[in-house]
Amino acid sequence: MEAAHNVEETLVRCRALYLDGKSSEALPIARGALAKARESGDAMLVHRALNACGILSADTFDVVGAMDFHLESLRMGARETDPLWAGRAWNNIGIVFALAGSPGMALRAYVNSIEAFEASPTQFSTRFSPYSNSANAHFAISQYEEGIRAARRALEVLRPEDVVPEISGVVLLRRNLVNLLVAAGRAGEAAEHVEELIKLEARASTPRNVIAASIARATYELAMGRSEIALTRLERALDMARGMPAALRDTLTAIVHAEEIAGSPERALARLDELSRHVYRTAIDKARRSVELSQVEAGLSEHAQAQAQARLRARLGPPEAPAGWDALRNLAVSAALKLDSTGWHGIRVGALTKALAVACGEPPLKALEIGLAAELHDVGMLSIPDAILARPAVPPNCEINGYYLHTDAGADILRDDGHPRFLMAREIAKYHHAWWDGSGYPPRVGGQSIPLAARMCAVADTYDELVCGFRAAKGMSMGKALQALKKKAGNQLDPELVHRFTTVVMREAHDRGIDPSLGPSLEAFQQLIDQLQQDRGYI
Amino acid sequence: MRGAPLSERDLRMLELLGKGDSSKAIAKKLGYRPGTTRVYLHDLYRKIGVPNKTSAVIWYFDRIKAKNAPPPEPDPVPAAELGLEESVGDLAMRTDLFTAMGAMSTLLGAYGRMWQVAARLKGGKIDKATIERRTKSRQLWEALLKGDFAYGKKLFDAGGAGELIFDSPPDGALLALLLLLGGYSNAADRMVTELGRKRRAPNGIAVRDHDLLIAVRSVVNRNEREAFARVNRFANDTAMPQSRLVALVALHHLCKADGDRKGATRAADALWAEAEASLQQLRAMGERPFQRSAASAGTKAGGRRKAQAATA
Repeated sequence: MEAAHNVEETLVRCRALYLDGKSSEALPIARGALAKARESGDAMLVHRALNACGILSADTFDVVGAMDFHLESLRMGARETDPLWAGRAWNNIGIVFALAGSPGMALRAYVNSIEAFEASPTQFSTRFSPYSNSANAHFAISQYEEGIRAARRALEVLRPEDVVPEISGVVLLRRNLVNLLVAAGRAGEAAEHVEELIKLEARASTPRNVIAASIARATYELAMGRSEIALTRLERALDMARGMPAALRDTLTAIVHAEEIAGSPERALARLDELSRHVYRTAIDKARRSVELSQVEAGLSEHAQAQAQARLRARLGPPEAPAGWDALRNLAVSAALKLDSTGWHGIRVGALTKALAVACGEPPLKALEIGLAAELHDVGMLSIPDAILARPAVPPNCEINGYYLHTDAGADILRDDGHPRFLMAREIAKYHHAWWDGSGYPPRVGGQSIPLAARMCAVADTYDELVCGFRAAKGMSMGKALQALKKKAGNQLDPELVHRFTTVVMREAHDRGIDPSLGPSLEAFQQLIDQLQQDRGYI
Repeated sequence: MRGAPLSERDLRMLELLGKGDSSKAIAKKLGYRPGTTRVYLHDLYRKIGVPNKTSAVIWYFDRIKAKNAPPPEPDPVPAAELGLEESVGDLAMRTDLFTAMGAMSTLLGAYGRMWQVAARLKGGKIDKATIERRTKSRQLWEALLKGDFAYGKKLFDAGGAGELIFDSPPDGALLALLLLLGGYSNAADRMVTELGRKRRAPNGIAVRDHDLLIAVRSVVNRNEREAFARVNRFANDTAMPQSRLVALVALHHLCKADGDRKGATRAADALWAEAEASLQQLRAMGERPFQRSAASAGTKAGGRRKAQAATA
C-alpha cells in the first residue's frame, strides 16, 4: 500500500518535471517508479507508470523507447474491460507517430483512441486529447476543415473543471485550432482563441505552454501581416525549444514559414536545413531502426521539404557579405583580447571550424560562412568583468560567477539582421558552450538540439583553449590536446565531430610537415592555422 | 492446286478485283463469258487459299503493300556504339579537356568561380597583385586542360618560374606539371626540386602536392606502375578536393598518352562531375554563374525585401 503511494507520488513529481520541460531528468525517476509498480503487482499502477515513461521518452525524442512503453501499455489495455486503458495507449502511440513525422499513421491511432474513449463508461479528464491531437494531424496533412471539426469536438468534450489540471493540453488544443483556422483562411475566427491562449499562458507559463502559445500567436500575427513581431516571438520560442527536443520541430517549422513570409528565403533555407537534417532525419532514422516503426513512411514530409527548398532557392539573390560585419569582427578581436593576449582566438577558431565543416561534407562556401560566423563566437566576452576571467575555468553546471553569460551577451550583440550569417553567428555565440549531454550552458540543451554550427565551433573552441591555455590553465602540445579532446567526446562534445576534427588536424599537420607531438608549441599551431587560412585561390 | 504459281490471267483478275470490279465487269474487260470467268475466279481462290471474293481482295492488298513497302530496316545499333552519343570524356578524347568542359571549366581550379564568390563573401578589397596572380593562375590551368604543354615551356624559358616559386607555389606546381607532362624533363626536374626546397616556407606547397608531382615524374620517366597507382589515389581522394582536381587532369593526360582510352575518359568524366557539383552548390546559394543578369536580379530581390520590411 505504501509502495503504491510512493509510486503515485513519484509519478506526480515526474509530471511536474515534464510540464517544466525537464523530461530528461524525469525519465530515470519514472523508470524507477515503473520497476516499483511491477513489484507491487498493481496493474493500474504499472499502466500509469508505462504511460509516464512513454510520454517522457517521446519528449526526449526517443521515439523507439516511447513506442515500446506504449505498446506494452496497449497490450495491458487489451486485457481490461474498460476500453479507457487502450484509449490512452492509442492516443500516446499517435503522439509518437506524429513525432516520427508520420501524421497519417498518427491519425489512425487517434481514431482508435477516440473509439475507445467513446465506448468507455469512465469520464476521463484527457478525453479531449485524441480529438485535439487528430486536429493537429489533419493540419499536418493539410486537411484543414476536418481538423477544425476535430478541434471543435475537443472543445465540446472538454469539461470546465478539466481546464486547470490539463492546462498544457488545452493550450495545445487552442494552438491547433489557431493554426487550422489561419491555414483555412479564416484568421478572423482565430482571434478569440488567441485571446484565450494569452490568458492561459499567463496562468501557467511553463516553457511548454509558452512555446505552444508563441507558435499560435505568431501564426496569427503572420496572417495579420505583422511578420517582424511574429519572428521575434518565434526566435524566443526556439531558444526555449532547444531544451525540449520534442518541441523543436514544430517551432522550426513555424519559423521556416515565417521567414518565407517575411521575405528572407536565405534564412528560411537555413532553418529548413536544420529541420530536415538535424531534427527530422534523426527522428526518422531512429524510428526506422525499430521493427514496429519500420512502416513509418517519410514520403510526404520529405517531398514537401524538397518542394519548399526548391521554392525558396528560386527566390535567392547572389550571396553577399553582410553589411557591418567588419566592425563586429573588430569587436570580436577586442573581446578575445580579454582571454588571449594575441586577440586571435576568434580567428583561429574560425579557421579550425571551417576546416572541420569541410571535413563533415559541408559544401565549401557554406563551410566558409560557418567559419566566418564562428570567428564571432566570443564577442559577448566584452560584458564579462575581468575579475571573473582571472579565475580558473569551471564546467558550466558548477558555475556560479557568470562566465558563461558571455554566450547570452554575444547572442544579444548579434541579434537580428536579415543576413543568414548573422543568424548562424548568433546561434554559435549562444550555444557554443552547450554540452552534448545537456549539462552545459544553456542548461538542458544537448545532442542534436544544439545547432550543428555551434557544435562544430565548440570542438574548435575547446581545442584552441587546450593548446593555447586560457584562464590560468597551461597550454599543451597539439597531440596532447587532441587526446584531451577525445576525453571530452560524448559528454561535452559531439563524438562524431571530435573524430573528424582529429583527422583534419592530423592531416593538415602532416601536410605542413608539422609534428603535433612536439611540446607546447604555439608556433607550430600558428603555422597550422596560417595554412588553413591561406588564400591559395580556393576557398 | 493450292499454292500453284499465279498466271498472268490470275494477276490481271486480282488487279481488277482490287479496283472493285464485279465478276461481270471482269468478264467484259478480259473478253470471257461470265460462266468461264466464275470458273477462273474459283481457280484463283483455290490457288491463293481464300474462300471468297472479299478475302481475295484482302489477300491482294496485303501482297501489294508488302511488295511496295521499303525493305525492313536492320535493328538499330545503339547510338553510343556508333560514337554518336558522346560523354564529356569522349569529347575530351576527340578534342581536349578545355574544349570538352567549355564554360564549366571556369568553376574549377585555382581562382575559379568559387574563389570569386568566396572573396565576395569574405568582404574586403581584392588587391592588384591578387588579380595579376589570378590571371596567371587561370592561364596555367587552361593550358593544363588544353594539354598546351608548350605554354609551360615558354613560360619557363621566359624566366617566369622563379617568380611563381616565390610568390605562388601552387601555381609553380601547375607549371611543373605542365613541364612534366610535356616531357621537358630538365626544366621539370628543376621546378620540382625548387618547390620541394621551398616547401617549408610559409606559403610553400603542401606535402601532398609535392608527392603528386613526384608520382607523375616517376610515371613519365620510368613508367612505374606503383607511381601510377599513387596518382590514381590522389585523383580519388575526395577529402582533398583541391589536389584531387589537379590529379584528375594529370591522370587524364597520362592515360591519354598511354593509349588508355577508358582511364582518360573516366578522369574527364570525374572532372565534369566535380564541375557540376560546384554549379549545383553555387545555385543552392543563389548564385547563377552563367547568367549575366544575375546581379541585377539580386538587387531586385533585395529591393523587394527592403520594401516589404518597410511596409511591415
